Amino acid sequence: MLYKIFALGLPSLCLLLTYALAGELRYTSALSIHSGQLHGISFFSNAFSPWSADPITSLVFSGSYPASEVMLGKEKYLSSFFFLVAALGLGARAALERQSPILFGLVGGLLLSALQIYLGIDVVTIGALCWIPWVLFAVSLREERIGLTLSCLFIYLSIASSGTAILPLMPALFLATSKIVRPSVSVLALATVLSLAVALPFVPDWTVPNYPGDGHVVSDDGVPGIVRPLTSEASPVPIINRTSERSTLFFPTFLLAIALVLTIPIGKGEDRPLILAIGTLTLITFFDLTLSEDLALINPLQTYRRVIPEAFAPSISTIMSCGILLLIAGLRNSSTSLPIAAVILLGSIFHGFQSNYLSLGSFTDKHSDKLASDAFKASSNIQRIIFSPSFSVIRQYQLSFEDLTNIPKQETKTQTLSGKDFHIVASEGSTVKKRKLLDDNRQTRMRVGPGGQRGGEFFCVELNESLRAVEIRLSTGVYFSDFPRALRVTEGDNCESIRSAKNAVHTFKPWEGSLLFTTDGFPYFGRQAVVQLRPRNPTRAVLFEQLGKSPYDWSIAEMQITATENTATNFLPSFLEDSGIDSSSSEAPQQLSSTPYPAPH
Amino acid sequence: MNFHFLNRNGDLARRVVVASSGALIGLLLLLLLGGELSFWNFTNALQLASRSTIIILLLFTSGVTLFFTRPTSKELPELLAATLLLLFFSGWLTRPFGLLQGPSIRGEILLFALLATLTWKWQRWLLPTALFICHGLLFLWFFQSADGRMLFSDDNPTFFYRLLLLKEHFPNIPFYNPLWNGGIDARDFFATGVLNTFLLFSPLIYTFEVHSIYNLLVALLLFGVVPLSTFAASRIFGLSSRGGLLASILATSSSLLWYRWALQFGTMGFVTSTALLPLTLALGYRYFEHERISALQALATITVVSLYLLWSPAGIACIPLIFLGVIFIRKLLRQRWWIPSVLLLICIHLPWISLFWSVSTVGNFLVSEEERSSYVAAYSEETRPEVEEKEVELQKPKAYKHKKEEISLKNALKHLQEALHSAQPLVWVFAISGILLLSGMARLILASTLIWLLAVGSFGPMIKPQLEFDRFLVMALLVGSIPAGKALSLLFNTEHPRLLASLAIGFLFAGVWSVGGLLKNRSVVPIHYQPEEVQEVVQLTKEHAKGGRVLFSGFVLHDFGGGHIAPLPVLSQQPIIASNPVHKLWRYQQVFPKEFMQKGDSGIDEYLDLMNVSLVFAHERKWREYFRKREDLFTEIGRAGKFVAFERKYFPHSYFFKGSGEIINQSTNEVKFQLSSPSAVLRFQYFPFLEVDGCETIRPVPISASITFTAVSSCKADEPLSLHSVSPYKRWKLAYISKGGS
Repeated sequence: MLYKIFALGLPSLCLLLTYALAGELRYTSALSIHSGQLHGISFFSNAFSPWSADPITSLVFSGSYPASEVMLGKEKYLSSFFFLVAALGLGARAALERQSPILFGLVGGLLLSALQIYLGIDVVTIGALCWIPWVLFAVSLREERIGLTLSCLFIYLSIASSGTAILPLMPALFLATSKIVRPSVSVLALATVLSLAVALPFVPDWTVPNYPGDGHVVSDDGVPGIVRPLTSEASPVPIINRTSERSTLFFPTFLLAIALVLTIPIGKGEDRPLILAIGTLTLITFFDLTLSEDLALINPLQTYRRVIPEAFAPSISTIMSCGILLLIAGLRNSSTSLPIAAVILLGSIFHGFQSNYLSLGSFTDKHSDKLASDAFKASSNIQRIIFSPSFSVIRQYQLSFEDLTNIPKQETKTQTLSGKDFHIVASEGSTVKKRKLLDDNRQTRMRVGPGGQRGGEFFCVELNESLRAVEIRLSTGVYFSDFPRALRVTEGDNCESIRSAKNAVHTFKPWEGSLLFTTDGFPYFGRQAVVQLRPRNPTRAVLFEQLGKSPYDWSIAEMQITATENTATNFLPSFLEDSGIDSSSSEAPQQLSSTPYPAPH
Repeated sequence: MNFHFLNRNGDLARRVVVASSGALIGLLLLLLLGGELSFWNFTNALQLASRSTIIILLLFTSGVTLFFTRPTSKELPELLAATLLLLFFSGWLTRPFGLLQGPSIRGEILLFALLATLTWKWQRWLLPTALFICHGLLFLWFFQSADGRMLFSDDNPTFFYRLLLLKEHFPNIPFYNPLWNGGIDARDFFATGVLNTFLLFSPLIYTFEVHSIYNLLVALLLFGVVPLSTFAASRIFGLSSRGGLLASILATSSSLLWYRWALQFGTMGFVTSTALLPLTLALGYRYFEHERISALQALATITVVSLYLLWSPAGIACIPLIFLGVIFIRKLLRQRWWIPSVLLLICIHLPWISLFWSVSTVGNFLVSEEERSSYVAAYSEETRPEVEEKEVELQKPKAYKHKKEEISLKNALKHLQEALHSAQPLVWVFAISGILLLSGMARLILASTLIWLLAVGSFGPMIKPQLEFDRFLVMALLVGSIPAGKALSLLFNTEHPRLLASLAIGFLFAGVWSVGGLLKNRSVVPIHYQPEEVQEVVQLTKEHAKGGRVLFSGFVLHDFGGGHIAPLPVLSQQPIIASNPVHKLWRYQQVFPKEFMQKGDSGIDEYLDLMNVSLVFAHERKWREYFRKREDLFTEIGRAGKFVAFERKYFPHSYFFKGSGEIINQSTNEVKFQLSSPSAVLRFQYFPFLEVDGCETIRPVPISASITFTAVSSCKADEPLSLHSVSPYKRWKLAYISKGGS
């Protein structure tokens, strides 16, 4: 009876904890420096905390724990260290068992892993996996007390480095179903729980940034309304980039499916339930990734995430899948699970191609010095901002490290323009009526173009000689659907020559909304119906070109231009000269109400 | 023709035909109750033929299949369960304002159905355990969502205020409340039904602070009284424990409208009565049984029925029961305690009903639908600025949520459809089969009550819009949970999992989770909890009232933290003036009376002086700008949310219009004062039922069309005097014997 309870209860518990704790995906993102450029890597756009190495690694490399920021620049050494740890663990495990199928699988995996290391394995993946072979080693020791102690230690290290609280529970699961019960299930389960209890206080708190209700950080998924969990904590706005999620997970899931198909014919009778279980999981994940969103929404996987508290943010992880199958390989001595494990291990390594990279601009020695200084305590919020639901926004707008740390320091006297201060040039067929743009009536509009959006419609605003625009705001008023589907914005001196001259050009394809910031400095998209842009330098003319297609008109119901006298002012001072960071304060930069769009690349 | 293949011996062909007839009936129900057939999304309407043609075809084909298969009543649940499958794939679940809000809720339905299938062999103990846990979860989610803040939507603060007043003054109600609008007749305890809530929870109310337990009272009502009442009623009606549990969870998750009335509107009187309705019906049913009723049971019946009837329209729901009582009078007369019960009920209720009839204008209210115009959303300027633009102070606010319409089947069906769209589908799908599974008087009582409630709920809003009979549809869904529970219990009574039974479990738990989502404020029913703004207003009022009254300009409806402003005098210990403390107005009404508004600034100042106003709050842009412009007379001293406070630089500093004296204290039911002259005119509204201890004469002094002050004379000088209402008994006498009532 006890066996049955564990056999049934533990899988359920494991699955529940997978989603409930969700610590894993908070540790699958990191900053790194390559060739003088700062990069961010995130496996999913909902990886919300920067990765942190386990205590042993942290102590080795920095002398303190946790120590995520100081790992910057040491990625190569970290990867090698983790590889060494993993290789030793696998070797120790193999040595204990002395069984050729395991050795074959491990050696094969190691060889290919070694190749991938030199091609550039990411530190997060290997860091999350490296202690797991040691867990396998510990649970297989004949001496129970030593095995138990070491199990606790390695389980804890595994949790601490990956945040993957679920993985250490897998040994308990499979021990319950395997022929060899060593150590006893209950003891190992206890060890796991204790390790969890030790590790959990180190899991940092994470709360959804205070995005306003009308903001968004991911593209519309096409499903009407906002789908949230019914009863657990939910973000006020959708935060999971499903497109990114699908692209990241599709390849490993595909590999898993292939592996299953290949191993089914060779599976023995005792492997059937296992193959069935993994097959079902694969199928569910596959449907989650391939079906349209309104069908994926009712898939058990997404529903499970909605129903389980705190599980809405993460999705299933290849690290978890990989870890599960690695453990299966180690414990089950199964000829079918080994190839599956090897394939998935490869998939998790190769899936670095699907990870989300973020280029955050140059990062020189000066920046390093800055990071090492006390002022960085304030900018350590930058990691929190980057690895947040705003990740997609930062990537789309190609914001740099400097963009995220700067605030406009210089205030200039501005004025809101009236109709006599500017003139408009628009594409043929437009209903140009300045009065309608300035009458403070959201129901009167100007249509740009002959009707609908076919691409090529344009609208140019040219100010009088003495004026320079510092902010332009276009609103569709009550015509909510009449926003431009894609925009190219060009700054220049006049509308006639604005295209031909080498002027600053910024493209937003698709147009997701204006770039705005919360009071804590988290970027988000404003409503698509409002195009609010602020040039890097005050400019006399701004050309808006619509590049997308839609049956809806491009309407402008209200326009507001804020201008200054003809002066040249840089509103975005450099990071070093005027960092905008108060070293006495640990607060993040204050709210930016403006919309700095990225410098041309 | 030999139809032996359609016999009742479980032949496969027969089962197929039975299933088909179930599908046909399901389609028919969807078409009738949904208005149209749609696939997956309600915007994908399937228009194969005209609606009436399809209905006729479906009626014919389902009739034929039923005729030949002749399913037993025990087969009916499974037959009707096919409707669930159609519901799943139709656009029903994607309609707005549904309890089960698609498209994502299909995922929850599927997941719970899958779990049910996997765990089917343990469902005998697993299902009841899960249902128990669900009740607990609902408690938990409610308190999680509240997070220590008091429920403050719409009428919730008003009911909270009424409970406070009852705690202080019961049974001396009605009474004169000088803290509101210069004095009002606090008599709405009867009409609103708050007495039932008060009496039911009186031990808690008298032991603890009402503010600290208000949420608990609401939670106990919704997640304690409702399931217990339904469970007990189910057991009395002959359901098994499992059937009773199913009925109780269905009742708790019967519809979105139920929680709209309970949490968003906060009509606790109605909620309490409705929660007790199943038990009332069940206890009434006991009298028809052969088994003798004991004295204790009779006492319990009287208690429950009395609490139930304290919400004035509640009796209408029991008309079928009364009617059956008349028909089966012989059965009732066999019960020894029947006549004493009836007599005791009359003795308990006649006094308060007669008092209620005399003190209120209920007679006029009942026929007021003729004068009423159509419904106009009455919001303050902050939510509907265009309403304020069109404000016409000269019009009397005579509008209700519904308007009187021509009685038609089409409109009645529309009301019914709206209610069912918001309901847990399991209730209306299985209620019919459940009733057929019951027998004898149980079937008769439940069937007749359900039909009556549906009829009143569908037609009533057209006839008497002011009585809001659409609530009876909510009551019907609650009562319908009992037979639905019976049918579901039978459906789940199988050894092996079946698709439709699993799907029903999916719907059941999806309904619970949907209620959870509602409690967590993730539905179209907005629930407000007391915001900080309320405490800020209270603080400003306390600090700056300076002995005068506090006035809220414009029209205050739900602007006070999402609810009514009723409890402010008690929270701030200051007298308040506003358009109306409770929800009696359905159209914008300015707080300044018409006759003063017409005079412009001088009229407004005159009114403020007459009412001894020292502090003004403005939450509408126009009034804020108005007071800001008049900075010679008003000083802006602070802001609490949308309310900006202005102190009056000059105000009378006196509650005496004529004469002189001192106000010792103003409480919720009296004004204590002392005169330095033998007579005076107090700046308090006059009512005929007022008296003054220590004065010989009290009379009205009309000041304007809407202000009548109170004059007292021949008073004892330099002694504390008290202005208050006569006792309830005296008031009753005034109404019926002296004919000088309200």
